Amino acid sequence: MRFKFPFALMSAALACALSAIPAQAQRARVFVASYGSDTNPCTFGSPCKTFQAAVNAVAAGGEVTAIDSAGFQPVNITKSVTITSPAGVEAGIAAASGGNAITIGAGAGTVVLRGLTLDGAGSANFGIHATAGTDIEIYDCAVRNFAVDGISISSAAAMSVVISNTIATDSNNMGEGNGINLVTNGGPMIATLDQVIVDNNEGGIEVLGGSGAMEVSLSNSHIDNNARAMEISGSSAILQNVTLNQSFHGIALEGNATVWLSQVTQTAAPGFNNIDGLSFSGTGNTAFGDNTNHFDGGLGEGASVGMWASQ
Amino acid sequence: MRPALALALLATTLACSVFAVPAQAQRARVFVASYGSDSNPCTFGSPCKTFQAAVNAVAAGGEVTAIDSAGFLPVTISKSVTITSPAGTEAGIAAAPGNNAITIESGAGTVVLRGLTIDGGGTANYGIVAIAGNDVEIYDCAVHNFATAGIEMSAVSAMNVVISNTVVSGVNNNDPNNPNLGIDLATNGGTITATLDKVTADYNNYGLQAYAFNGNLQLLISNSHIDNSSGLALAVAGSGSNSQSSVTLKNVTLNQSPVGIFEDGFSTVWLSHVTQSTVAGFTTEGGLVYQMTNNLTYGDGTNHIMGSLGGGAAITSWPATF
Repeated sequence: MRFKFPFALMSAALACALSAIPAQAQRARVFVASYGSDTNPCTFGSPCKTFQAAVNAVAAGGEVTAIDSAGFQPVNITKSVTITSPAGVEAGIAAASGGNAITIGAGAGTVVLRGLTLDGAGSANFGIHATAGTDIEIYDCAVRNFAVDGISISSAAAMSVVISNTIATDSNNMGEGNGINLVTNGGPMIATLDQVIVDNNEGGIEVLGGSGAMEVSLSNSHIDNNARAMEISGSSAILQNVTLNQSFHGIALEGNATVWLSQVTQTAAPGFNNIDGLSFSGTGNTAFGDNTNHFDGGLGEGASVGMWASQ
Repeated sequence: MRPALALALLATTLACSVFAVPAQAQRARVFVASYGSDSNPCTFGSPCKTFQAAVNAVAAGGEVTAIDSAGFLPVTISKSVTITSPAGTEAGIAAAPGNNAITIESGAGTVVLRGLTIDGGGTANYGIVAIAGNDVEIYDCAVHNFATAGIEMSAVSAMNVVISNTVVSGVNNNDPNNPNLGIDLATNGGTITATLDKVTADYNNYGLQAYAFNGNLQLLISNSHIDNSSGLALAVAGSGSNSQSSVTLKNVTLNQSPVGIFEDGFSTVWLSHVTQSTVAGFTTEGGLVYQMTNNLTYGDGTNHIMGSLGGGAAITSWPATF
């Protein structure tokens, strides 16, 4: 059947006139700075002091930018918004014990976080805790020292996730912390993780298709020195050019999990604790490899790797 | 529903009211700042407030630099110019509904955009649209939430395109009759030679389209990710023997879309280290789909096209030569 080409004659609409912002409407662009005050309107000239004040002040879909390096305190996001710390600025959040650095909840649409440094000091719960949002994008962030998870994202409705050039480290409190935890909870999730370093956590990356299809593409990443590198349950995961360096367990498929592996290296070395490179538990697990992978930890009981054909 | 190619033919209308240009020689280097004023000469000491004033003031081939973080409003470019937001500065453009952030039109030669953050609020048309220019280079930019396309090239003469270290995420409008595009490269009387590297196209309807509508198109895309496209990840199409699309993909992931690679006639695609994912639980139609005739796809044994091949689609060996 022939396709028809939808043909849109577009005139290059040119926005040359300055668009006046009504005084009472929220701004599309707001700022925080170390010298700011939350009684300010969060403009560049009169910035606010906390991310929360800025997020409250900015219009939905707007942008919060950090002018200089400081801690801007935990923030709760219930709208679409971008929070950016540009290169050269170290904007961070030190989360309080039992709290989160960034919470994303009902009302959030597209949320973009760029360049932020989040630290839990070992006692805060989550670095990023998202239970809502249609499109969550995390770039160039550092997330460390959280008691539960560094990044925890669950989808109650269809959600797209991008995590790029980001590190999630040192969440290893009492045998529970994950660097990154992705869970479906009523809606499907498509997640793309690229150039991610997950290091020194209890669990590196946990992927759980709880309620709703879950698919993760993980590339050019390193999951190192975690007790458990990856746990995958009820989900599909594609790993491309990933190193799993030294952990008790490499990749654990825990029921109805399918994983595809290309250029994946999982290390197990004498003198270190090693149990298995790839393990299956529960039923319905499948793993595919294309002969470019190295699993030094071997296969756990029941695990097998089928052929993932290349073209 | 079968995907259909999307074509936006842009009329070369210029309706912009241009600021009066002083008769004296223009500067080669101008500046904008949050504290600037468009009645200033756009020097570092007396910067302007909008990109448009700066572009009007700068000499052809000159450079506009943002001194600090702010929104500098939409701009129309009809000369050769570089607009830079250096590392540490967050210079952005928020475009109004129905409008564009950056329009590159007749008169443009070499246009370089670096470090800009461009947002369409879900209702603006194009993030960056070029209907002229012989060399358009986009580095380190973020383009979000445009209703028609994030980045659109419509070449009426020979055009060289570079897009590097840039993210384009859209609104994923899920409308098969009017799909929003992440990146659209189209020839419309000219030719395009394009290099895309470290590009992320996320959450669009069509992630990337290469359409030789009128004139040959050649694209190399590497180290990139086209993810969560509600329609298709990559569309490649040509119109005839003098309007062919040739696309090479090297180390690219096409993560989850109903269709992975869609070739719609007079298209040749080469694949190396490409992974196209299709998994149970998500809508899947095809990893590689052919429509019309004169489609060809080569693979070198390092690719994973997980979706089924559409009727007539096939992957031929692209051998390594040494």
